[in-house]
Amino acid sequence: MNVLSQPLARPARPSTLRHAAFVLRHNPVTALAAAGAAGLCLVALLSPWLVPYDPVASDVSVALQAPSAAHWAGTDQLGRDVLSRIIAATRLDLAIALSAVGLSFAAGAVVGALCGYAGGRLDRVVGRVVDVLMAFPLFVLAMALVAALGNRVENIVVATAIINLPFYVRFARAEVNVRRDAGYVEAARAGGEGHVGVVLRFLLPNVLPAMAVQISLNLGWAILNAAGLSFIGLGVRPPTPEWGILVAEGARFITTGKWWLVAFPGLALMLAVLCFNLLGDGLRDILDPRMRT
Amino acid sequence: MPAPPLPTPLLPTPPLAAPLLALDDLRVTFATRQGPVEALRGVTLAVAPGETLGLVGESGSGKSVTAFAAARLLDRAGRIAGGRIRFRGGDVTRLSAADLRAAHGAAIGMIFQNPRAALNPIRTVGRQLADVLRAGGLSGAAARRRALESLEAVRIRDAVRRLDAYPHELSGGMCQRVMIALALAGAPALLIADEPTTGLDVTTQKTVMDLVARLIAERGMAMILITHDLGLAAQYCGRIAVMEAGRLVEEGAPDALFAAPRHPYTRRLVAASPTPTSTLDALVPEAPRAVPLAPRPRPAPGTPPLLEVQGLGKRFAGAVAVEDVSFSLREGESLGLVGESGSGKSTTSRMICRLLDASAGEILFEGGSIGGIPARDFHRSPHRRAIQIVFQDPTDSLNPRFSAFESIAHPLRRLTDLRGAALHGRVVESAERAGLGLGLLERFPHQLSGGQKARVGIARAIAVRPRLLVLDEPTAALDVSVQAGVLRLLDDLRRQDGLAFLFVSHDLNVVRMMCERTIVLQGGRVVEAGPSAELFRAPRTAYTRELLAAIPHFRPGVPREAVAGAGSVA
Repeated sequence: MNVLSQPLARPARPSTLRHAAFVLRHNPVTALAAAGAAGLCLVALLSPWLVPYDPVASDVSVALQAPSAAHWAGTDQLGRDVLSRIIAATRLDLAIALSAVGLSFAAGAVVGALCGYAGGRLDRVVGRVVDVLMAFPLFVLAMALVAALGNRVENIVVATAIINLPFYVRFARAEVNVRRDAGYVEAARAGGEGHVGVVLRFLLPNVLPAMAVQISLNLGWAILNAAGLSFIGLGVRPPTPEWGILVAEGARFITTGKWWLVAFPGLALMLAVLCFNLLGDGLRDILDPRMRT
Repeated sequence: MPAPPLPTPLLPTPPLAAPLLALDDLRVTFATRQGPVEALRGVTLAVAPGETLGLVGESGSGKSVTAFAAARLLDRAGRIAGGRIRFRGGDVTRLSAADLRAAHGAAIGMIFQNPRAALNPIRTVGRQLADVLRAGGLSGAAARRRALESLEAVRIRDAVRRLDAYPHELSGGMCQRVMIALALAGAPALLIADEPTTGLDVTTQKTVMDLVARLIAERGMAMILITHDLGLAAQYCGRIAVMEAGRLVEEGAPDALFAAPRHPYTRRLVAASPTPTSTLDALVPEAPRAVPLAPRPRPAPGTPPLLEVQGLGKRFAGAVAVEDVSFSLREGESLGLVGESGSGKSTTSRMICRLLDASAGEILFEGGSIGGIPARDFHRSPHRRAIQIVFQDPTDSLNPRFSAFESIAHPLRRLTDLRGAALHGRVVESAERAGLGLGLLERFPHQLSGGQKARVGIARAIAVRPRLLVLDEPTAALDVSVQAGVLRLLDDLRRQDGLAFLFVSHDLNVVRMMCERTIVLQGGRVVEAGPSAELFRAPRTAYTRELLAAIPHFRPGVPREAVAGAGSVA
């Protein structure tokens, strides 16, 4: 289709980019958070080339050394470089968080949008299922799911996706519901569009920007969730570098004053969550129509 | 003072009596991202005590900004950049909010466009009135007594019971009366009415405006009526000021001003405003007809009408919305469907478009029943292509994520086999026929003006070459000068293609110009039907007469009193 509209096709919405630039200029915190999030993703992608040492190779001769020029974040009880382990863990933690959020977003948006559009029995049934899901303490639910499904990384992803699902279903349902009677939906029907097409081609694209905020806020939460599960010994297992495991292992030495084992992985975790949360807040501003004058 | 845009003789000097409100070369700028935008570029205006001033102009002309600046109610982005506002002779241009309250007292009352939104939804009408009165220094019981009196003053029936009603329990007209009561509660010397009757039916508009006119006359108040409706301004104002692009271009008494407008903008505005006698050609005098109109071919005898509707009815949860509506429509014919809100005209049009299922009756298209196909499956029907619709709100009816090109191409992809170059060609052809510049095709709705969006909607509807076009108030959201162009375009399209129109509107003047036959609906039933010319010249039923009489008119050359007299027959 685009081949033929080519003479007319232009880069989509330069005004959106301009608007984003405007908001970022007036909101340096968001710009900083966006840069931080981008930096994290870059570190995750390039981690094999960024690590100064092999993150799993132990060398007991340098065990439990405090931060120094050679080991910026010190070494652990087996003499492994903590900084290398943190960098290597970035990839796993972001991968878990991104795939979990991606999964729950894809499923939640479609199910929620269908409920919001169709209403009726489907809406009622799905609504009650979501209510039941949300009635559980979510972290306990995730623990139970991983324990039941098996102690593997994929199951952390599935469990995190499931506990995130209700938010996406409810959000998509509410957003689609208010747009269901919009004039452009009626116009699409008059133009011969079927119901599924209306939801997928007309309603979902209009709901996506608002959901991007939810995604960003959720990413931070998903990272925390994955780290939490590993911290209590579910999911990722040592010696795989993972932030939650690093903190859990380091916790054993904190009473003896080996603070760097906990502090640096904890700091990485905190920065990641902070970046995604601030980015979510900033995205909300960018997408807020009242900001567009 | 910078050079005025017009020779000064056009702007008469303000009245000699000490003005209540005087604006002197007022300039207002709004801070936007593209830098400051001048909304008012030097407005000089005076309102004498007891005077009624009409401020007319199209959207963006600065008429609302003028009033808001005068009441010092500009929002945060707006700033008075120059000039002076005097109220009762005192300069209030730069007073702080507290000093302003002291200076004004309750001297300016305002009523707004959307009364329901301006009322607090979670407080009863009586409490909201009492709040205002208590702020004026009355005690609880006295405030309630006065609240009741003020509701009675705005002629709300059963006022004692209405005191305890919430806004959502009242009709639009009632809400506007409550707003008026609120605005007048503090006994202001000046009432600013910003499009007070937009969204109200003509008959409701007439009762509300008659009420306002009587109240301000009784109390010797001054009024600024802001409106886009020249007829309304002419009928209720002693003096009219015309605004264009932040400037006052002309002012004077309504008779003289509309009989012999001197500024080209006023001339264009007057020409574009439909009156009981105007014709489509007269609305856009300077633009010549694009194509000579071909006479419509007579259908062979024996062919069924294009559309036949028999005993159509619709109930929503037991309530009757439409009942026993029957009519037929021939190829190339245009039929008007008029009535007030709640008359069932939109419901009827939705059922005929097959976007809504009927509860009773039959819809025949070219002799075959289409009423039996449920609306939810009609997008697969071969008739979907033949029946298209142009929606009321051009903004709401365009997908914000589609460019104009995509919006027009969408029904072609769904309903025709056109692909590739042929599809592209058809989109371009439709856009050209709808008067949409090809450079605009790549734009998104938020980058288009109201008139341009309306043309995208029309291009989308005609792209699939329908046989019947349902037009649901296609110009209700447009300025008169834009409306004039769109109406002419629609009429040309109909005549060139032999399209049949079902034209739904509350604007009787527009229907009279656009439609050969007209059906008047009231409460879901047909009260009168017939050839438009006859129906408008000699309405047979009291309801149609009432509708016609309620339209505010100005007639160039006819003294206002004569018009008002003719208008108050009912």
